[in-house]
Amino acid sequence: MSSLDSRSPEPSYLGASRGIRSWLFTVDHKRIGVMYLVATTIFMMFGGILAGVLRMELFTAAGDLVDPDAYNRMFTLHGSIMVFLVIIPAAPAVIGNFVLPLMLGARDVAFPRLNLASFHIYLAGAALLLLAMILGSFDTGWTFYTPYSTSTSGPVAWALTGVFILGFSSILTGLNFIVTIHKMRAPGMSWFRMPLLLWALYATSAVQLLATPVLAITVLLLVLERTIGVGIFDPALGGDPILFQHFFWFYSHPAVYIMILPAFGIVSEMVAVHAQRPIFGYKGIALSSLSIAIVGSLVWGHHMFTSGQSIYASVLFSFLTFFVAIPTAIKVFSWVATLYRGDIQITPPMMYVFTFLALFMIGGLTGVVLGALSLDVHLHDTYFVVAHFHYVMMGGAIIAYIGGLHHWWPKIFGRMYPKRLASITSVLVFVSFNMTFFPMFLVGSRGMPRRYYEYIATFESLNQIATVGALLLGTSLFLTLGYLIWGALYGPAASRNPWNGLSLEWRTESPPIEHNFHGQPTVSGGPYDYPVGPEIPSGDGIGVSA
Amino acid sequence: MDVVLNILVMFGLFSVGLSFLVLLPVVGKILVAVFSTVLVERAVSRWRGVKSGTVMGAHVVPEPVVDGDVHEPPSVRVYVSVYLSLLVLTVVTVGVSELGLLMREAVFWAVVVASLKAGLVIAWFMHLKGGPPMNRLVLSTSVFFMVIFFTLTMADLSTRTMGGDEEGQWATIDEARDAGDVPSGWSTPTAP
Amino acid sequence: MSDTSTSAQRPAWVASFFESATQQRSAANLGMWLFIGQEILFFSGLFMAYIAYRWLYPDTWLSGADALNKTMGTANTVVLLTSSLTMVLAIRELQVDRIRASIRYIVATVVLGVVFLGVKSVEYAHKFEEGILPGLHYSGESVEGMAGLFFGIYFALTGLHALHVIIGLGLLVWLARRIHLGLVTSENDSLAENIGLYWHLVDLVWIFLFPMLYLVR
Repeated sequence: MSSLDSRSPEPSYLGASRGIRSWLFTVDHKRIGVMYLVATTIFMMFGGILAGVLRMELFTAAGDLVDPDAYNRMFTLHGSIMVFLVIIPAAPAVIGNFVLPLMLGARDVAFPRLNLASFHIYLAGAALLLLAMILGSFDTGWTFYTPYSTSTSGPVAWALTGVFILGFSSILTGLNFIVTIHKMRAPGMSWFRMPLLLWALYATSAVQLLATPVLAITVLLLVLERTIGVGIFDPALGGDPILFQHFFWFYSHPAVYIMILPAFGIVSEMVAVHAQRPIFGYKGIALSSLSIAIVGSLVWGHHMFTSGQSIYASVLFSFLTFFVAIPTAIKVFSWVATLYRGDIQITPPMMYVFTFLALFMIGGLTGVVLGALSLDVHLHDTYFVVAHFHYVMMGGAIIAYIGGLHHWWPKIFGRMYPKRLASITSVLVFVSFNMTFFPMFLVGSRGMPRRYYEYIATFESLNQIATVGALLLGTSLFLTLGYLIWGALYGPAASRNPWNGLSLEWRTESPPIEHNFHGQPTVSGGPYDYPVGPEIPSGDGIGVSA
Repeated sequence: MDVVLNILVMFGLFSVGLSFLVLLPVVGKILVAVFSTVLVERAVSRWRGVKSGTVMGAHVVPEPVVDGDVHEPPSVRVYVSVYLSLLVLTVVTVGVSELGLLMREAVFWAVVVASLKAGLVIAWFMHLKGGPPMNRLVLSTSVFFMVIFFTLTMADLSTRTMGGDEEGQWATIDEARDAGDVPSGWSTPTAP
Repeated sequence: MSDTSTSAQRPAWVASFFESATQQRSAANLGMWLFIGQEILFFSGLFMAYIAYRWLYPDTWLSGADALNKTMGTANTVVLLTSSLTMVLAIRELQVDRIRASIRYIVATVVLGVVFLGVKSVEYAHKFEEGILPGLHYSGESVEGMAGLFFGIYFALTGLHALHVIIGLGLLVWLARRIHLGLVTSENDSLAENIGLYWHLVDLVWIFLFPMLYLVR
């Protein structure tokens, strides 16, 4: 089918206006989403290259590639870029911006100019972070612990200001999404008829809105301490460095839920569509997103078990940490139940669903291990932690994000990428990912500390496997990027609904026209009302009508 | 156990503060009713170009509009009554601070009065009362998160020295410094 | 204020992607409340530092509060409460189409805001004279204990608050101009409502700051 609807001479959003200014000053949420896509991809490449250098250094036990200060600066930059410039914006700002209004049946988000402002604020924050890099970079770790971060020389204040500004991009995006979901749903779309990605984005936005300001004030206080000596965290003045950690992790733990909740939403969408089944336990998944947002904001002290935090608080935080696994498990069980007796299509998005389920399970379960206070005392600051968070952040959030890109790519660009190549590459990603990060669990539990540029010889062979895996992972990701770009430019034209999805975004053209729909679509059933066999309870039965 | 008591007191304080959001319709109405007297009528009638209270007085009954919009704003009399209540509460809070109460009690009353003032501003000046219920949810959720932040962090800070041995036990850094002790884990403070 | 959702006339100020004026106004209102929620969390960091260190250093806090001028603090509280009243009256006048009265109340609010900043500057000047500066720069003699920390928090809290007041004054002047130009009317009053909410937030923060800093006993 042609990407241009026969009844519409109206051009798609991609061709609606030309010139760089029409992109940089657009208020079209779809163009803003694409710009975020380009930016996050570039930053991810940069962060990935840094990781490659780190892994090359760790190929041998001796510190022979870079000097220790350079190593410290590189892992700091790798972490800061990946966390603040890639993973936190990726799923909400790229996929959320593009898909959310379409799924709601709206013409745009509630505050399109604010949306554009969020993007430019993001670029400004990124620029400052990179400026700090140019000015000599900083080696505090992306966690900026005091007193080192307040007393070390270097352009730390620039980096912190960049983080402060990036925070506001995140807050404003969250604000925009919440208002859009509240006020601009299509007629007939009640809360429990919304696609689950929207529930996930709603919970994410709530966390973005509530947790990020605390990061902002924390970073501001650090800048004040560095520049004018107002030392809230300075022990010489009577301050408490651990108070900084409370401040920092009060945001940064919910931040990981900002990263993973949209990923969960994307997986929900892909599971239902690529198994052509109504999702199992819709309400459970929807409400579990909200529960994760709430419970996940109660557990930040589990990053501080060995920091000098009171043992009683540590026990409390450990106890609370276990509870966050419950809503997560509800989701995983529901997805697996959805797959059961489904008409599973082996499409690239489904391959990424499988990859996600496997990798996220490992990551999530090792999180429970780390949440146990007695175990964490031994595992804290070892490679076990590094492996855990890469499994959840990369194996979970990024894999789901890439899967989502595969799922909505034909909608975004109106062209299809080579599907078989994509499925094969996803297997490569899965294998190389495990090759890179699984050995880290082993060396970590045996005592290899993190953030060290050299280590004792017994860990060398496992590290070498990890490095080779990292090179393969990088290659497969570049390959993914390559065929996706090729598909967007030269791939065969995609139909409106290549996957037979039932949510509203599949009712409009691929790529959509500038105002998304030709008229106001209405909804009379749920978003996953696939016809099912008589032995399984069906949904409302009727799909959406435009 | 003193420390556990401190945590409970703090949590209690914040709960009281929060509960004002819930109890506000009752308490606020009383305050506003108290001031909706002849005094205010006289003050109000001296304002230029003022419509005297045609609408409802202390009650703001929202019209049944889809988004909860209030069409007719509260009367000037209501606003002035709220303002006068705020001034009275300011006097109260300054007065209480002069009473020489124990720190813990003083803090309690300060938070109570401040929450009451805040509640009045939020309910009437910021139109939360009679506005869409979602706004109330947004506010309560933000306050809830803030309270969690305070409570769990203080759960750490206030229990650092619990359960230690009697020798060298100290409750606050001030006492330790007075005793000539520098607690372990802290750098030697240099007097600024 | 009329609802034009289904009628053929759709005011020019309603954006194309909104279905109706009501939708636009309620979206703006919710958006502002979300922003306020976020501001509460922003200030909560400083409140947390206050709570933590007050708990750790009660004597410093008592001594530090003595060094603050309670009269000026009380005066500023009254000034801000009054400015909240004038703000809400300004919006009310706008909603009943009395444009000039509305602008006059906004001007009154701005004047009161400037008075607040003036009193604050006087306070700060007194402190600087006595060597009371934040953090490491503290060189005063009147406060015992962790004075640098106390005044670090004092200046951070009041400074951040004052910055919000300054921003608020700018917004108010801008609002007055837009009302004057007829761009903000009784029907299209979201901007006024939202700036009003912002100003009340500034007042709310001070309502808590005042007893916390000045009335420690």
